[in-house]
Amino acid sequence: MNQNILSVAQVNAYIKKLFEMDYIIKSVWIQGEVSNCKQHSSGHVYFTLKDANASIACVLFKGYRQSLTRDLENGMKIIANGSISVYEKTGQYQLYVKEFIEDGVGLLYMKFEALKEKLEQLGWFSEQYKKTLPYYPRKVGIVTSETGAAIQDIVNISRRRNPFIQLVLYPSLVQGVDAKNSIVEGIRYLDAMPDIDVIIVGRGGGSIEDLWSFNEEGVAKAIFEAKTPIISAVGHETDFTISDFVADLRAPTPSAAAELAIRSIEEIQSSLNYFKQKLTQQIEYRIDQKRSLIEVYKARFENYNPRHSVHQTMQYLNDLQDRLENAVFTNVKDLNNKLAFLNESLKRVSPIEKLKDGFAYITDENGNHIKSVNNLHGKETLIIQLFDGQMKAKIIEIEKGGNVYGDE
Amino acid sequence: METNNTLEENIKVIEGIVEKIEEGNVTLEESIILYKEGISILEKCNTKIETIEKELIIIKDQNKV
Repeated sequence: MNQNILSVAQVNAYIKKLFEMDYIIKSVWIQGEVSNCKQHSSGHVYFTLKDANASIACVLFKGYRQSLTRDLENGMKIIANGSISVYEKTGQYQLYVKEFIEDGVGLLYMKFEALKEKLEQLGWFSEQYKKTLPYYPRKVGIVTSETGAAIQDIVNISRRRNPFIQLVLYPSLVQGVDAKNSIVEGIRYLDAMPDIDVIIVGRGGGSIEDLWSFNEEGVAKAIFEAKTPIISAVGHETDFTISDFVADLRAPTPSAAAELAIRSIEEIQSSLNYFKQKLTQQIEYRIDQKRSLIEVYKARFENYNPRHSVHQTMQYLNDLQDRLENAVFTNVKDLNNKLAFLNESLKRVSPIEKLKDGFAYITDENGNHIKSVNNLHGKETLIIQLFDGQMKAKIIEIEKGGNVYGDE
Repeated sequence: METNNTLEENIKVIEGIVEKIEEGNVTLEESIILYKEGISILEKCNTKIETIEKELIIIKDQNKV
């Protein structure tokens, strides 16, 4: 009894100090089921975390509670994080909860987020590592269960789109603890094959636990390290896995992966036909172009054809001929007119006309015109020409001078 | 000469040929040579698509790797 006697408060304070010196209980994760959950009017929540063998008092202060996404309920299986300390008033130690996650799904989700963040930091999701899928893969590797719906879907889609593509299945486990290694082996096996053009890794839908293998770091690593382009096709459209992020392409479903990996034979053939058509069109166009160019030159060259100038000369000659003929014709007509005019004029002065008026034209027998009596000696025979005939006459008497018609 | 090319590579070559002819900087003779080359590569592309229906291969011996 000589020992120091301590007050209760002193003991509790001392024990509290001991607790606080321990670095393990400063931050612990404790797994258990929530019971005796009481929400105090102050906003703090008091509850007990228990498992099959033990229980521990817990408190969740209002300040931490507000940052949580969901409230605690009795029967909830959680993993709580916080520090263990002593409540000096009662001498009771308890867990001061800072955060908690729901066990099962919540834990997996946390692991998922943690790995996602880690790999993102490593740059494994970076675009620069994404390999492009081949336009026309001839061999497509598949890592999935031999008996699952995924392989059936992939085979069906592949047959429909392009039955000439070789599918190679590496049958792997897709759920359970051994699935991780099995998937990794499958990826490495197919990646090591020299002629696999693309690999589809995946499985059909299931719970997050079922799909968990595709959130394993080992699987992510195998996908990241593969030299062959990899399509990740896990579960349904809404399921995202680490494999999806690290793969070269994420397909929402295994069927979609087959659609993405395998180009339809019709598409390939029509694109080949398109090129053939285009090539032929081009060459025909070029030939036509040259041909019409030749036509243009031919037409232009035709101007210099000597035949062309001969034609022109011939035409000119024809013109000349026409002009000549016209000119001659006009002249002849003029001449005729002139002649007719002259004829008329001549008629007017003709001696015949005088004879008609009763005058006579007298010659000697030799045809010499006799205009005067002076040279006559009276013995000549005269030829007297009248308008309708002539007569021979003898001179009876010559009288010189005076008027023929005489005033006698 | 393009026999070892993949289909994509061959299609690239054909695209190049078409573009070259389209640009019009080649003589008619050259374009006809290009055309023949294009058509022959297209033929190769067609033969490259082996039209034999393939059965699914399932890898049985998994200890090979």
